[in-house]
Amino acid sequence: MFIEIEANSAVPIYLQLAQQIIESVAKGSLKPGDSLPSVRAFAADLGMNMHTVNKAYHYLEEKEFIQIVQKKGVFIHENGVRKASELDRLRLKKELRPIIAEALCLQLSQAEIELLIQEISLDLKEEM
Amino acid sequence: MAAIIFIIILIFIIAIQAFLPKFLKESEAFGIYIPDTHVKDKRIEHMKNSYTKAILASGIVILAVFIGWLWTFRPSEEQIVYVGMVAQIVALIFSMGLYAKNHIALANWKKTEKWTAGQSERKVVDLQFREQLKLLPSIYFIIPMIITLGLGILGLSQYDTLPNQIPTHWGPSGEADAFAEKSWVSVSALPIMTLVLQGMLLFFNGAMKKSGAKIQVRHKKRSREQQLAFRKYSSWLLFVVTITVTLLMGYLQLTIIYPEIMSTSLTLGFTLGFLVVILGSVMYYTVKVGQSGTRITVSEQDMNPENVIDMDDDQYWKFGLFYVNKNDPSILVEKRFGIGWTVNMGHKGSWIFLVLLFVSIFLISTLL
Repeated sequence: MFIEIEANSAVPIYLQLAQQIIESVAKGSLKPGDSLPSVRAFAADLGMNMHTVNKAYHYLEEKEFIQIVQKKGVFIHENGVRKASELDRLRLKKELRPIIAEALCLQLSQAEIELLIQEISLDLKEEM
Repeated sequence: MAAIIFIIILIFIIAIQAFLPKFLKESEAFGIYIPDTHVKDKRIEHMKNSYTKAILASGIVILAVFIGWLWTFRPSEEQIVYVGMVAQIVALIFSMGLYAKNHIALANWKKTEKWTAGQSERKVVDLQFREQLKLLPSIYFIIPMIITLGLGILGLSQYDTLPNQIPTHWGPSGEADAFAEKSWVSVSALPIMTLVLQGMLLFFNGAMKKSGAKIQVRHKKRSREQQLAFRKYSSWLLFVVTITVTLLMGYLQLTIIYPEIMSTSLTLGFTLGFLVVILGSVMYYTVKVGQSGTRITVSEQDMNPENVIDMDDDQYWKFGLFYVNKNDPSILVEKRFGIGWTVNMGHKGSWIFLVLLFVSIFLISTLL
């Protein structure tokens, strides 16, 4: 399972890491219970600060996508793929808001926005 | 005898230096990161070829002078050792000079022609790399240490029966040629030195496990397989070194404790065997595995995405030789220009390791 980080992107590295892991879970290439590298090993592979990896892991832990078990390692959370709770739904809504706002500024119609969503979901499933 | 050993080592050094570019990653030339778009650049190819020719030519001159000197002056063993070392240093200085010239020229081309412009720089991580990595477990390196420790204790337990002069150095023909007064230090010096070396090898094996994997964005599968193989073979090479060192030093320690088993031909046999096994293993490692496993063929095909290149990390490589990256938790990293590994100078652990190493060498040489 490879993940790829863009060095000169405006998106912070920790967020790229987290998003790539979530994407892998969505695609099914990472399954609940699969282990992830330790913070130190991950940072060494990136050649970057352990702080960056820590931040990504805590971000994912907060969203309940991974589970950090002391002395055992880091795993994809058993509830990594789950029915969205009310809280999940609210969070997603909040995170989508700026994107939708941007789309409206760009005068995309609702149908066009839906088409975009369809394209992305299809793309995520196709790569399985 | 010394002459033959020095000639062999000199040929070995010159050959490895001269053909070095052939055993390195094509994405790195003379310590400079070369993006995929430029690995086929004719100028780089030409630079590598002329480097090989120049090192070979200079090497032949150095060898000829050395052999001519041996032939005409029939020097003593001691003189051969000194001049032999000087010849090695001259060969290395010449290749480093040529390296520096090429390094600077390449860095300038890359900068003025903007080789990395218009490409998206990527860093790739394989999440399962550590699970697939097969290094020898530490116990393989700890057992030889226990053997050495046992021999050290054996030496001390036989202290009263030992002769008053303890050999501390052996000449090229296998005869002890330097001695020290009997003391607990001189009796334990050899096992302690061996332990330091064995400890170092144990440390390297552990550090290799933690060293960051360098997966290439355009050759993900190939570079992963090559990295896994390179690390596995590196671990085995360390093991071969630790075993041969343990045998040679163990034998010498036994000859100190039981001088009657000492025979010049046996010592010579052990020394030559040591030399042959080490040089042979290094040769195999260089030619069959190559730096970062570049000589290993991988059947799995990669898709080669366009417009992406690996992240340019030249800023962390001082002169292309010294890796200094405070953020990277790796202590050991793969060399850029050379076969094997080097330490991350930006890591505290590397400094602790280097200081410990020098302190122990200093202590051993002053106490004797």
